[in-house]
Amino acid sequence: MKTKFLLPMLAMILAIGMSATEKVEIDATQDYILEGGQFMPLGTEIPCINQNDKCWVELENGQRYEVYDAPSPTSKKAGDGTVYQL
Amino acid sequence: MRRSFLGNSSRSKIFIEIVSFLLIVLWIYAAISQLTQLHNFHVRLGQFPFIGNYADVLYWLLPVTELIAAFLFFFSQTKMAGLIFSSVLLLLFTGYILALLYFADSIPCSCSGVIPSLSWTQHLFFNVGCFIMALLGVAYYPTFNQNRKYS
Repeated sequence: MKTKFLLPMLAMILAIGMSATEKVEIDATQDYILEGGQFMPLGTEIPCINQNDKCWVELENGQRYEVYDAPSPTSKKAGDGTVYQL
Repeated sequence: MRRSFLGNSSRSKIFIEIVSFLLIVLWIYAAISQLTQLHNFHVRLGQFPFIGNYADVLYWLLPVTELIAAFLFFFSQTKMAGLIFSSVLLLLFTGYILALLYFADSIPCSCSGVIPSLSWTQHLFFNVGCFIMALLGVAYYPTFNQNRKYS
C-alpha cells in the first residue's frame, strides 16, 4: 500500500518543485523592451506571430528594439521578423 | 500469452510505472503553472483562435481536467482510466496545435503552453511524443495488470 503511493507522490512533489522554480511571471497584457540596460514597459502586448524569428518594435524616435514578454533577459519574445510600429 | 518488445510482464510493469510517473509530472506541472498564473492564462486563452470565446470556462476547466488526469494514476484501479484519459487529452491538444499551425490566421504566443520557451512546432512534437507514450501504456497495461494480479 505504502509503495503504491510512493511513485505518484514523488512525481507530484517533482512537478510542484518544477513549477515552483518557474522563473518570471509573464503579464499577458504587457510587453517590454530593453533600453539602456533597463526594461521599459510598452503598455501593450505586441501581437507577434510565433515563428523561429525575433519580434521587433519600432518606437516613434525610429529606434528598433527586440520585444520581451517579461522584464527578464531570458524572456525574449518569438516572432516572424515583423517590425511593429508604436 | 502476450509477447512483445517489452518481453515479460515485469518489464511491462516497469514501463507502465515510468509512463505513469512521467504523465503525473506532466499534468501536475501543467495544472500548477496555469493555476498560479490564472489571470494571465485567462487573458491568453481569450486571444487564442477557435477557442477564445470559451476562455471563461476553459481557464479553470483545463487545469481541473489535468489534475483529474494526474490523480487517476494514484490508484491501481483507475490507472488504466488515467492512461486512456491522458491519451484522449493529448490527442485533443495535439489536434488543436495542428489546427492552430495550419488553419489559424494569426498564431498566438506559445507562452501559455506547458513549456513556455518551446515554439508551437516544438510543442507539437512534444505532445506527439507524450501521446505515443500514453498509447503504449494503454497497449501494455493488460500485461502489467496480469502480473499485478498474480504477484
